[in-house]
Order: sequence, then structure tokens, then C-alpha cells
Amino acid sequence: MGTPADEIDMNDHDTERLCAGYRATVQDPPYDAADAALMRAATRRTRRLPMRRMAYGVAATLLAAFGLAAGMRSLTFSRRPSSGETPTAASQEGHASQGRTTAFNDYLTDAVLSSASTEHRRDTGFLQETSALSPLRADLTCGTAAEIDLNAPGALASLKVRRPGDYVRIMRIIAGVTRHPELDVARWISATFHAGNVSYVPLWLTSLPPQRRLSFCLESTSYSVVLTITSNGARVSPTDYYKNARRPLRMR
Amino acid sequence: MDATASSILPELSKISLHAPRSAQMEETRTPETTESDQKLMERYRAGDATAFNELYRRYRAPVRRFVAKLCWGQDEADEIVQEVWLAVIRGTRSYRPAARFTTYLFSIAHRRLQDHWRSRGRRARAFAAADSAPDLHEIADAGATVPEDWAASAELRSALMAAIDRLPPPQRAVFLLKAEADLSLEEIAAATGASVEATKSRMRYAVARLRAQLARHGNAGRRDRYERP
Repeated sequence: MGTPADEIDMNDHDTERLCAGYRATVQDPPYDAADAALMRAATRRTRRLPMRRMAYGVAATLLAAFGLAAGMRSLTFSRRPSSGETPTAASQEGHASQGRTTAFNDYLTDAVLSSASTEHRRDTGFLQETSALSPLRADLTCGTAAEIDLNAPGALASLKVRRPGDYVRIMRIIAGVTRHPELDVARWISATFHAGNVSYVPLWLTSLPPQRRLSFCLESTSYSVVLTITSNGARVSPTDYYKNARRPLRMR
Repeated sequence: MDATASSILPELSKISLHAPRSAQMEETRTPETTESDQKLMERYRAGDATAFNELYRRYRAPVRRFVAKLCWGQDEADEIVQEVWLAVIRGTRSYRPAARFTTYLFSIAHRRLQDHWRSRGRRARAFAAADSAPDLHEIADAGATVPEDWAASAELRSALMAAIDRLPPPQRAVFLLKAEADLSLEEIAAATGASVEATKSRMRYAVARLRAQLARHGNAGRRDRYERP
């Protein structure tokens, strides 16, 4: 004869009867305020759905319109300054269009990195929503102002002469970037310098030292800069990173 | 089958004959309703709030009882139940009907309970100790003599509830998942994160303990009755 355990199985009559006895004994708890609160929470979520869908639709339409406009601008201003040339307004405009054509991926990354919580970061809908609305937000904040590339040769020197106020703020931003946690930089810049459309993202496919692409909007002017992060703080690379990016890799 | 089991079974069979399941449990058992649960979740994902209300109506009581039986204190149980349903609401978009809805729902409930137990470390260690295997022969021998005229149905039911409360929590969880959600062995294993063999073992021990405790209760009732003048 086996042990009692050998005789008991999930389909055993004992198990079934014990379960039936349990079910016959228990009673349904009465409805209370907590139930009502849950129902309300569930209903609120369904109410948000049509609004979210409408927002996606509007954002997609606007995105297409702005994308078309950016394409037209890049066709108009396609010239970049050469390495020895002092940046002019026209050349800055050219950088602006280039910045806009590459902006979408940055916005996607920005949406992930600057979102509020881990749960939100995993939420595909949130990502779609944020990435779709980010270009719109940028244009609403900065208007259609030119984006000044601070990595362009002579750009900082020119800025120091033409806009000393912005120059001081930018220097403080660059100096303070490494003193804040990576995910907190954008918030810090927005809060301290009243900058709009702040994006601080890693520049992918770079080796040591690490680099970050920082862009922000001061009043009506957009700035972008690629920073090299060192142990002594961040520094603006004096070279033209576009030129470096096209340089073929050399095997050592 | 030993004397304990054979003498308890007639009494238990009275319960199964005279106590039909509640309406909601009847609904959860049929395969058509299982599909319907998934359809309800899909409808809710599409924005139909009434679908969630229907799901909630079906499973609120089983979930609440399951959590309350494995929790210390009604307030904490209420809080965990709220968290479970909010997790369902938030996870609607990521819900994939890979398993039955009940498995999904009670998995969430069990995970929340595990968090609850973990947050109370000392008691959780007591939980783990309580899962150690008892001597089943000893359990069975303890109630070897059960009177044939044992207990009216109400008394048996209250004894059964008390016996369930005395089960070690891991065994109690397995038994309740079977009794409340009617999950299969594999589904219980998936919901609790244990192996199928461990789950089966826990169920065996739970049933053995319940039988033994019911037998002891029967002996005590019989003594009282015969000692009365």
C-alpha cells in the first residue's frame, strides 16, 4: 500500500470534493468603494483612448507637413561652410536644415531617455506619441529659427561677439553638463536656463572618449553641439565632426 | 485507500451534491467562457469599458478571497487586490492571450502576494519553514478513526475553512488556486512560478493535511456528543 500522497491527485475525488466544499462555504464579498474606484479607473482609460488616437492622427499629419517643409528647406540651403570659412547667416541656415533632417532619430532617443518612468519607457504607445509630437513641440517652441551648430569652426567666437548673453549661458551649460546625472541634464538645462526643446543624447557608434549631442533652444534660437566627455568635463570639439564622420576607418 | 479517507469521503460527497458552484464559477469553467474572457479583454483593449466590468464581475470575488486567505490583515488584502486589478488595467495593451485569463489574473495576484510576503521578511521565513514536508503516514494516522455520523454539513464546512487557514501558505495557495480559479496543475505551476512536480507535491500535502484535520475534528465532535449527559 502506498502513502496517502500517492493516492491524491489533482483529479482525485478527494481534491474535487474538498474544493467543492470550499466553494459551497465561501461567500461573495459585498461591493464597496474600492470596487467603484476600480471601475472608474477602468472607464477613465477607455475614455483616454479616442483622444490618444486623435492626437496620433493630428501629430502624424503635422509631422508629414513639417517633414515636407524641412525637405524643402534642405533643398534650398544645402551648402555647408568649409573648414576654413567663417560661418555666415546663410551657412548657419544650411546647418539648420541638416540638423532638422537628422533630428527625428534624436527625438526618438530623447523620448525614451527623458521619459518619466521605466514603465513609460517600455510603453510603445507613449514612445509613438512622444516621438510624433516632439518635432511639433520643437517648432512651437523655437518657431522656424535657424539652428546654430556650435561645432562649426569659429562658431563660438562669432557667438561671443554677436550674442554675448547666449554665449555666457552656453558656456555655463557646457561646464555643468558633466556635473549632473545623464538623465537629469535636460531637465536641469530647461529649469535653470529657461531653454526649450532640450535634447541630450549619446552620439552612437563612437568609441572613447564618449560624445553627446546636445541641442536646445534659447529664446528663438536653436543651438546644437557635439560634446566630448572627458574626466575634466565636457568640451566642444574644435573640429568639424561631419568631416570626421566621413573619414574612412584605418586598421591599426 | 486508508480508513481516514474512506470515512471522510461520504461526508464530503454530501457537500458536493448539495452545494452548487456560484454562478460566476460556473461561467469560468466552460471553455466557451474562457474564449469569452479573452474576447472581453480584446473588447476592453478596444475601448469598451463594459467588457472590463463583466470581467471584474466574474473574478472579483475569487481574487479577493484568494488574496485575503493568503494575507495578514484585511487592509493589506484590499490594497493587494486593488494593485492586481490596476495591473490588469494598465497591462491591457500588452496582454497576449497565450494562456487562460484566469491564469494571467491569478499569476499577477500571486506575484503581488509574493512581494507582500517578501516585504515582511521574518514571516516569509516562517512561510518557507512551513512548507517542509510532514510525515504523511503520521498525518493519516492522526485521524484514523472518524465516526460515520460525523457532523452536519455546516459544521463540516466551518471545519474545512479552519483547516484551510491552518495550511502552510504555499500549500494553501496551491489549494486555493484549484478551488477558486479551477486551474490545472500546469497552470498553477505557471501562476506560482514553481515546478509542476513541486506543485503536485504541495497539492498532495494540502489534501492530506485537510483530510487529517477534518478527521481530528470529527473525533472531537464525536467525543463531545457521547460525553454529553
